[in-house]
Amino acid sequence: MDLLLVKQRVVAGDAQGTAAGVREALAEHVAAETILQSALIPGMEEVGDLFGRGEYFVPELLFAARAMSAALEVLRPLLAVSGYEPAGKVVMGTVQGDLHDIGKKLVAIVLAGSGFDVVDLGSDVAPDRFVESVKQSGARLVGLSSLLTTTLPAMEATVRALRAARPAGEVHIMVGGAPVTDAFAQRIGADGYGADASSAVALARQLLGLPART
Amino acid sequence: MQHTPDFENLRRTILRQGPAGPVPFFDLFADPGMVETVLEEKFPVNLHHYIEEPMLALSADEMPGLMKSLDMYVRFCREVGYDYVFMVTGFSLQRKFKAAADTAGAQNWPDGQRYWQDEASGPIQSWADFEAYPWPKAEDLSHAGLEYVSAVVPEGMKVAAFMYGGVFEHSTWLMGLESFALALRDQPDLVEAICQRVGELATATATQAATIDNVEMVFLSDDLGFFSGTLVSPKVIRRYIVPHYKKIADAVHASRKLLVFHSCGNMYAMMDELVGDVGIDAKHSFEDKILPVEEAYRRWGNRVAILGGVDMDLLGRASEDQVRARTRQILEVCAVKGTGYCLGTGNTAANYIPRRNYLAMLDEGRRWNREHFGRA
Repeated sequence: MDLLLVKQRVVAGDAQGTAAGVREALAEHVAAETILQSALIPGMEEVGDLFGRGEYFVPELLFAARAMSAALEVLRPLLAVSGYEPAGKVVMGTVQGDLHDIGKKLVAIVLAGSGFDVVDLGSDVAPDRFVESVKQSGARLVGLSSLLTTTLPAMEATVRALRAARPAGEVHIMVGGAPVTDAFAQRIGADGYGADASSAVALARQLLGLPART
Repeated sequence: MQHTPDFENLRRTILRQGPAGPVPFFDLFADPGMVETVLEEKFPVNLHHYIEEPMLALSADEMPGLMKSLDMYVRFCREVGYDYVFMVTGFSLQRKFKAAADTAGAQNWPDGQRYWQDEASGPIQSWADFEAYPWPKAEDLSHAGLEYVSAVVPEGMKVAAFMYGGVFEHSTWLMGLESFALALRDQPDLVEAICQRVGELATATATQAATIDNVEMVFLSDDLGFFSGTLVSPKVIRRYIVPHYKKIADAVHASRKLLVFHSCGNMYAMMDELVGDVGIDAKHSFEDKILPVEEAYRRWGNRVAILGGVDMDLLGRASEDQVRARTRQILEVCAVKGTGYCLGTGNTAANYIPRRNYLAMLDEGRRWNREHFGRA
């Protein structure tokens, strides 16, 4: 099975075709991690780039995420056995009082597609839940989202709570959302601001000290 | 100096006709919380209930409170200086909400909870749901609020029919945005049927509203974009949504009324078609982070009126002086011709904008008008 074809199926959002391609590659003794690193992640990275360039939209991202998910269902047991390590663990959530989920979900999709293990806490997440999730998961990166001007104080409160529980350097915090700016991110003590899903991935890699994608 | 309402000045401004006149004020709507805060008076009824469910049958007991509330809206629009009263139409479809604590300054939702559209899912996921859905009939749509306001609107003012949700929004609300997105590939015939049914109801609403006496504008409100682009591709919008916009525009213009298009987010890939093919008279909703209103005015101001644009985040969080400075900055670009631009917020007079900032924006507009036209 040509892994380039599997990658193209991810980009096209063909869930059935992607899963079939993965099964075929495994039958040809291609290692699970090789399929992930050479076909699935590059496919999702291309999807993220297309989204960032305005050539893909919410549906195309969701189709690709569905294809990735179908492939991972096949690969996950094998990856667990092989001791595969994700690029990093990220806790994501929309802050307390804010029910807007889709923007954060798109960032989570692109992060997961880029090899991160994402713990998505959903929306209207209290500061304590972020702190608890970081403790439980051992994540070194947290992504906070807010769509409403009125929930920016909740974002600030969450940063404070995370800093109180885990000092700067131990846990990195990136923020994003409609009313959020770089200046606001700096003011509340976050480590970075991601304007969109693509830049959030680059920021995540930078904060975790991973090499930038080429 | 109190403003003398002059809808004809607003009409000339939107149609970009001379002579140059004072910059009118324009907003899509005012949250009940803002109306209460400005008037320093509470609504006697839970207005959200009526805005969300205008099809419900009203009992005689409810009427005095409801009429008093509508009178408060009229008074609000008159006192702050609009040349029209905005009022919702009776077009609304049952959908799915999620509740969270209201975080705005001027809260007026009962029990402190605010209801938001569920983005993931909605009442229609299949053909069976579509068939079972309680679709209203076009002839049963009731625009009682509009009719009441139209009968009591003060001298010099007219009425704007605010369609709360357009063809794209209602269609995605019925399925949930995520389900809608996936259905574009999995069930395109269902997507088409939903958009068609919603489009027919929206067109009927616009047609009915535009023929009510004193209704001179129809606000088609349909958020197509987010920060970096349209939510779905322009191709999808062109196929499922734009043909209905065209019918709505034709119906409104057939009654010689104005069609104002409100859409949040970066939907500018669609602007040329909306202006050129659909024939909207004005575009409303601008965000500094996406495209400052001055830039929109430079790009499209010679083809369509540009409305509002004082950034919501600035209004929500900046000082009064900063609001005045930004308002003045916008006026110095968009209002120098004295036509084709109206001053207002980037979205609505929302309940999270501090009263002082909202009033400072309007006061700066009055100062501008006094300086340039000798009257507010």
